[in-house]
Amino acid sequence: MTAFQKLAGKLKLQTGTLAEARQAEHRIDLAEADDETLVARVQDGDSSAYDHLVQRYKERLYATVYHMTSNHEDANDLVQDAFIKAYKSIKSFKRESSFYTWIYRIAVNRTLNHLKRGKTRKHFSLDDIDTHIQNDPDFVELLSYVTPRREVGLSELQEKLNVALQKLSEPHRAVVVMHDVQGLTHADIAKALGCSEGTVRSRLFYARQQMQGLLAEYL
Amino acid sequence: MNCRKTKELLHDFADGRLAEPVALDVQRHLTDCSDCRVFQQREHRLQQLLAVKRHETPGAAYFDNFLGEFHRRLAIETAPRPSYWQQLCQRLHLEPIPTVSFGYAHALGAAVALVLLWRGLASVELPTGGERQDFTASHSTPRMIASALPAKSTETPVLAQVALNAPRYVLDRLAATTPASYEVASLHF
Repeated sequence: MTAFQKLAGKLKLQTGTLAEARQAEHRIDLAEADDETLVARVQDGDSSAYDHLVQRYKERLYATVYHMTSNHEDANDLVQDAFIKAYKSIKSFKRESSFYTWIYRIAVNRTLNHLKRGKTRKHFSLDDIDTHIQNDPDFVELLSYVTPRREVGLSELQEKLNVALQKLSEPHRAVVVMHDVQGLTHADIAKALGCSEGTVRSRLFYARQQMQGLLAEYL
Repeated sequence: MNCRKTKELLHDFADGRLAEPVALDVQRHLTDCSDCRVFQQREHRLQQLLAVKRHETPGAAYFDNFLGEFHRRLAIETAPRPSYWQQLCQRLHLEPIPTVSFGYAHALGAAVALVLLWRGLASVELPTGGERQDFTASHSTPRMIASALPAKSTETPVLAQVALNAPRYVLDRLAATTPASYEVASLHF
């Protein structure tokens, strides 16, 4: 091997290392970037930025859709659909609201349409309950009240809750899930559903009354 | 403040989101109304019950392949759709002919048909002048039949002569001798 070839090999190695380093730096940049930057990058044609948005919001969106459908597979399909729909129309996203609000609306609207069409899987496929529930003060207080009256299993409670939620109409269920399960404010719910705060309050009131009737034995 | 209004405001009251005078009104009503107090307690327990939902999770490994699944579905969604021709071939379990080749085959067929038509039209020689008049006359006339018959000799054949002198229609002969009339002189009403 001549000296020239050795030098060329070294240079090639250095160039490759530099490119890899740049790529790694780019990945770190995107992971730490805020939503607006990521959206701007996607709109400019950098589709890898969208992966970070998917990773960032998949769990939160899944939780909302899952609580509305009470079905693991439906929730998965609907969240995937929402991300695909958002990706395909991201060029028309004007950044007037946050990306999360926008995709949240897409996911909720798709779920409501799906529920209205009656295409849901008829059986429940419920997720497991995590171990943190034992430390949740709300749950501890509830057990201290309910258990002396009758022995209640966690899976029984879960099943009854999901049955009661599925008996609500779709708009009422959406409001209960967003407010009482996910803790969104009335204003945020109104934005997500495209209705007034008064409508949200009214729906919440009637949905809770209905839930009280359906879950009377635990209250 | 009535019971209905109080029930509607209970959550905001619990969260401390009400203005002071309104909160005082709600508090006063709750002190006086046992029904609303029971309702408030049940609401609180319902909130605690719904807390169970917050702890439903799909498991740690569930989201591991979420991104991969997203890319797979996106690729299917954005893939170009097959043309109607390709879809038809698929349904009939046929090997689809590429659309471009199919178009070329059509164009070639049309060109061949045009050439044949052009050559066919060019081979027809139309008569000119006086001949055109005879040609356009009806072929059903005896004169035309006679002229169409092949001349075997210089003498006019008897059949041809008869055909030449024969009247064209029955009414032609009548017109030559007596005018046609529907009047019958022997009949009187």
